[in-house]
Amino acid sequence: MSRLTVFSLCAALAGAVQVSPVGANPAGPPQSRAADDSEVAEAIESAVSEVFQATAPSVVRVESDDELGKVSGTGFFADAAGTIYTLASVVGDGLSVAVTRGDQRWSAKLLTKDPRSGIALIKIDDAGATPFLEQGDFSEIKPASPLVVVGYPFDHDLSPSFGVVGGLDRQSQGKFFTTTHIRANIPVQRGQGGSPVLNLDGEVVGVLVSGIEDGAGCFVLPIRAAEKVRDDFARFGDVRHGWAGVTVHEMPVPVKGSRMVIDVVDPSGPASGQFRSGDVVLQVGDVAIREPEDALDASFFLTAGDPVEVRIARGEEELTIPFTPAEHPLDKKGELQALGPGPGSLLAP
Amino acid sequence: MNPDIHKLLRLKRYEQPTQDYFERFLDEFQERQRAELLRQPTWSLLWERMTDTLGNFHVPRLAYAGVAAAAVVLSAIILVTQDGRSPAGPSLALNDPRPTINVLPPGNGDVRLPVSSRSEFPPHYVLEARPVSYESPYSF
Repeated sequence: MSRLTVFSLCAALAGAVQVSPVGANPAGPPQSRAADDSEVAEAIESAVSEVFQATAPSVVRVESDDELGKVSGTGFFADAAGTIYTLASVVGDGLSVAVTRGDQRWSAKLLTKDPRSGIALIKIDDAGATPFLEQGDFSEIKPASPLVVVGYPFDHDLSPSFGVVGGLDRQSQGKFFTTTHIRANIPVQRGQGGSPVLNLDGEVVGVLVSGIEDGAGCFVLPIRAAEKVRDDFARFGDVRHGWAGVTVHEMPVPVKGSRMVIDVVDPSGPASGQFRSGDVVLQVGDVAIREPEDALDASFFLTAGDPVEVRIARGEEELTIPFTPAEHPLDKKGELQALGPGPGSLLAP
Repeated sequence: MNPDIHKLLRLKRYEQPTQDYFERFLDEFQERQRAELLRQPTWSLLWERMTDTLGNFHVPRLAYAGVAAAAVVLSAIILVTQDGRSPAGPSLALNDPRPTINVLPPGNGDVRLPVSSRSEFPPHYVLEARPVSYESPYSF
């Protein structure tokens, strides 16, 4: 999006939310108020339209056949080689997957599915260089950041939806997610699962993974989490989540800013002999730990076989321990996918 | 009167059930009555209800046997007649417009509808109800 459009949108939004002087009519004169609203609407329309036009060629409808019939969702190109992000629930068993965009139709092959994040990677081979979406910076996403979803609702044409970030969540109604998700106040419809979620620069910041309350809002997997899946596939041919083999609990009083203390170390796990019960975890790789839920973000981005530094507090001492996560024991047996979502299915062996 | 009994009766005089007891009494009574009822087999319940209903008409008990025998004979006649008819006869299963399911040979592990039939159904449009999620985050 051009700087001019961003500037005009910001100016219009600022004008819309500016505080009225004390004693003045908060609604302002009716005519000027209507003019402000009109400017805001035009600025939003312009910004969303620009994002939609720029990203539409990179967004595709993904259809698959499974034993229950045809399944339809949305996907988008992650690179020029025809790799597409979509949802594992869209591609099903991956035996018959097709990608359409306008009048064009390609058959696609399933590269990998990650049951932990719900992401799937598929690829089309005979489309030449494909347009793909640039990636945005997750650290800039905060409540009230404007976002656009571009996807295929039902059997309709490609459609944009506009809204704002409601929050960054790691759980909803007592169920914990695999990593932090963006909760977006954007209305979505069925068929839009797997859609790219974009900032106003047209950069993808996440993948739409689920609706909230019948599509009144949605949860978005950050693109960096989807990239972890793609990186693993590029390196190993499959997703390799790292496993430490520790159980933690929450302390009532934080130690050096963290409430996450190691409770049990699995003697057969890679952390055995390196960590002890009572060690307070302060940081895992780049993820600072403040509470046990931070383990979600810490563990999701671990890769089996990739060394990572873990900073802990042991008594009065503060130690940095190099540590190499292993593959989850159930993953080795191929049982991890069979478990699916359930009580402690992936995080607890 | 025995002084011990007299003392006991005086004590009992002040022993009042709580208000909650009276409020719940009817509910508990009905729950237990229903629980007792559900212990009986279904055929027993049906028989009991039928005899109760028919009893209201003051029909002699032997008449039940006659009616039952007539019903059995009638059913048998209908079934025999149906059996002898051609497939063109009225049959919901035979005239079902839904497509058949082709079960592929064992080993393929796949059950699929014919493509022409499947295309008649609208696709399932995906939007999950919530992200992949778990009960406990305290282990990794």
